[in-house]
Amino acid sequence: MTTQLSPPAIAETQTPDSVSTPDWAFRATDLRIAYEGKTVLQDVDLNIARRRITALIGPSGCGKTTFLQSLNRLTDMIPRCTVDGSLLLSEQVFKEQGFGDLDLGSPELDVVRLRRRVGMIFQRPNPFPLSIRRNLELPLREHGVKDPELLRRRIEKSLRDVGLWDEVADRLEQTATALSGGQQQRLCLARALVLEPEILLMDEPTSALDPLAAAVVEDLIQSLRDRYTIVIVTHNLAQARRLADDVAVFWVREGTGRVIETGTVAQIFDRPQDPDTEAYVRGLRG
Amino acid sequence: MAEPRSHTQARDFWTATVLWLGAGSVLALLAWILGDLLLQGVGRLSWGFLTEPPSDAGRSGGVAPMIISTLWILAICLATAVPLGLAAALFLTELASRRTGRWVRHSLDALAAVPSIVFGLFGNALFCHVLGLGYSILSGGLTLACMVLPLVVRTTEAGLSNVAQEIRQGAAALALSRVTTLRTLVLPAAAPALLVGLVLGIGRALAETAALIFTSGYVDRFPESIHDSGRSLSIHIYDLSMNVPAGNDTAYATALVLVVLLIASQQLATWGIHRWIQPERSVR
Amino acid sequence: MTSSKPSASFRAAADRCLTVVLVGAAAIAGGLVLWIVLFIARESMPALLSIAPWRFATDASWHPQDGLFKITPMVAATLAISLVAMCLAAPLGIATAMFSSFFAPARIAGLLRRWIEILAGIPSVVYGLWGLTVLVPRIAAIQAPGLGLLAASLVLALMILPTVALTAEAALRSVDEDLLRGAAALGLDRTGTALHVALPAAKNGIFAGLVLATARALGETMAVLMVAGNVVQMPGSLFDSIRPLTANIALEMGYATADHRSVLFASGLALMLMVGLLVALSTMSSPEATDG
Repeated sequence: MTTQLSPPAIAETQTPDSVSTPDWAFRATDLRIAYEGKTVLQDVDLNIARRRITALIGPSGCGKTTFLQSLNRLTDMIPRCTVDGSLLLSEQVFKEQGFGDLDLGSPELDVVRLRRRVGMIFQRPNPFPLSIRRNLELPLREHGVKDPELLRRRIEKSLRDVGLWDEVADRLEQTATALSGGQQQRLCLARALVLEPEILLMDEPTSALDPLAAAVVEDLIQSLRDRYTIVIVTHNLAQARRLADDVAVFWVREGTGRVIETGTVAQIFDRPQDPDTEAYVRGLRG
Repeated sequence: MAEPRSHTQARDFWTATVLWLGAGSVLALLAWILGDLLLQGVGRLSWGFLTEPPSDAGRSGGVAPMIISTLWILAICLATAVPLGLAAALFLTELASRRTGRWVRHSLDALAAVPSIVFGLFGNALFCHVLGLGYSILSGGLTLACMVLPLVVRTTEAGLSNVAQEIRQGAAALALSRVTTLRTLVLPAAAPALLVGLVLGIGRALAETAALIFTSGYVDRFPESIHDSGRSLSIHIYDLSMNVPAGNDTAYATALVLVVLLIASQQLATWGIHRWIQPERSVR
Repeated sequence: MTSSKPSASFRAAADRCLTVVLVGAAAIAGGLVLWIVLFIARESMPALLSIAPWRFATDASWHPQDGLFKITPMVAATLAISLVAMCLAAPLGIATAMFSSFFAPARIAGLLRRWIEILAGIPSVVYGLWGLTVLVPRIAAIQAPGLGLLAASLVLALMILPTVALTAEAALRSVDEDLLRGAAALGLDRTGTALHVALPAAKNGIFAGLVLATARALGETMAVLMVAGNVVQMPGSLFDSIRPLTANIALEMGYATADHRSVLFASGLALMLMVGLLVALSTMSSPEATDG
């Protein structure tokens, strides 16, 4: 039941300790993000590998969520938020090629094209106050899928992908907000998957759920491994360790957030180079 | 030890007494007004009063033409103010920068404070004379639309901004268009607030007199079209009590009809505000 | 439902269309008050240009058809009625608010607020009717004719009482709970807490409400028109018949022409400026002023 039709990227160098992954999804160079002239994040140089899970970790208020939102230009919704520097989305992410890498900083960027390939899951489940079926049908219709049979198939498939089909198949017309928190979050994931994206952005997707529901959602994320590029913000270091291939550590220095260290999960957790990283992964481990 | 405590208790007792008296007198005054309205108005009230035209300058007969005129004025007022107010509220919540939003809101607050007689002057000059609509239901309705606009915008805006930011973010992350987001997600969620704004607007428009005297006019016949002059219930009360000797009974009966309508719409709005818009603060 | 295939250009066009509509509506709604001011100013221009401004005070009388435009008695009447009404409504309104915030059982407080909201919803023309038929005869029994400053002030006081009471109550309710607990911890009784802690803490909000109520009083037309007697003269005593500015406009607009009409618009403009100033003052002194 693979969602992704394109073959796995060529030359995935599965050397776990090597930083150099030739295939990247996002490439940030000297990125700076500011609200109302106040810099919240700067000097970000970061490659996010394709078809891997990258965890963004660090204390609260160091710009992780902001960075995540810049990846699908949700920063546009924040009044007077500016993004400088270079942020590219690889053309490999798109089904149709030959347009070149997408410059996410460009004011002429077609955000519709971007957001169809980049789905997002939020900290608090945010199903629309519509029926379960309408939650999934709305984005499909919006992006041109009109055929009833095709709609039905795509909806069923994405609900099966998140393991929700058996739970809700007989009540698709009921309102989505009546679902439990964990079910709501899985529905939101299904809603993102229904557009067949290549990349999934997740902002602490399990932190608002009870432990059991959180475990279900985490298992689900595990099951998406290798099929999607996943960027996940998490405060749960154990979760980062379980899920991530790569890790980027965000930290506040001189009043603004920065990326202080990047590497594979083994490098960051077992051989951290930066003393702050070390304190952070140790301190919370103990 | 006992001395100071009894002193403060005595002080609290006296303060409480004074305040109970003050609040009680407010209640008594209101009861007096409503009681008079009921006692003096109910005598003339009958089914015929609501369905017949007036005769003998209003001393006898009913108020049917005024009810029709009032409803027409109300319809024009709402048909103008509600779409305009909704669009302006959408602008404030969806598009406006903080600066522009502040200007528009201040300007609407100023509009809300304009005395009704000034709306009457404006409506008379613009609609009756410059646009050549004369004394007509159309002029009156449009003047009232200007008057209730701030109320409609602010109530609707409160409802719209209550739609959770998470929903908007979710819609944006799925690249739903603005039109779809508004139509499918935001407007249904804000619909109750729209209704409350509508009801508040109705209340304000029903109560208005000064802005109508020189826009919709005095004529107490059944209006044949919206270009005819039409007398609202409120103007009927004014005319009966000021210009018609022995018109007080009918004035009271008309006032009773009007107040019942108003209290009903107001209670509906209050209930709606507490239910849907803000459990704590009322929109004012 | 019948939407065509949502190609990127269709979506963009629909969004742009919507944007144009919303901006247009907001421009109308936001510009309306300015438009009204300009329009009324335009209509009052003939009078302001052809009549020297001091003549509004120095003309012998108000006989607009004979070209005499002494307007000061009506300005004085407006101010006198508003002042007396405020003197009555402010203490009663604030006391009511204090009562329902600090002394009344919760159920009574809720009931009181409901009743005051009803009081606020009664149309001015009904207050006028009631004043005319109930208050005026009783005042006339003391001193004829009954119609006059006292009747108008009483009716107006009743009308602005809800504004005072509701804004004062909101201000008192928004006083920090910690402050009140602190006062209680110091052993202050309820009177002391209410008078010396809550009232000073809420004074900006209460003041803003009083100013707003004054603005309403200045602009009120129907109720005062029906009970003030409408004789153009300087108010000398509480029982004098007087004619406030708003009543004058309502009485004379029907037949006024030329300069006369223009002067009525000018008095409307003056009224609007007074009210505008008061509302600006109220906004600035209200505690919410900072968050726009």
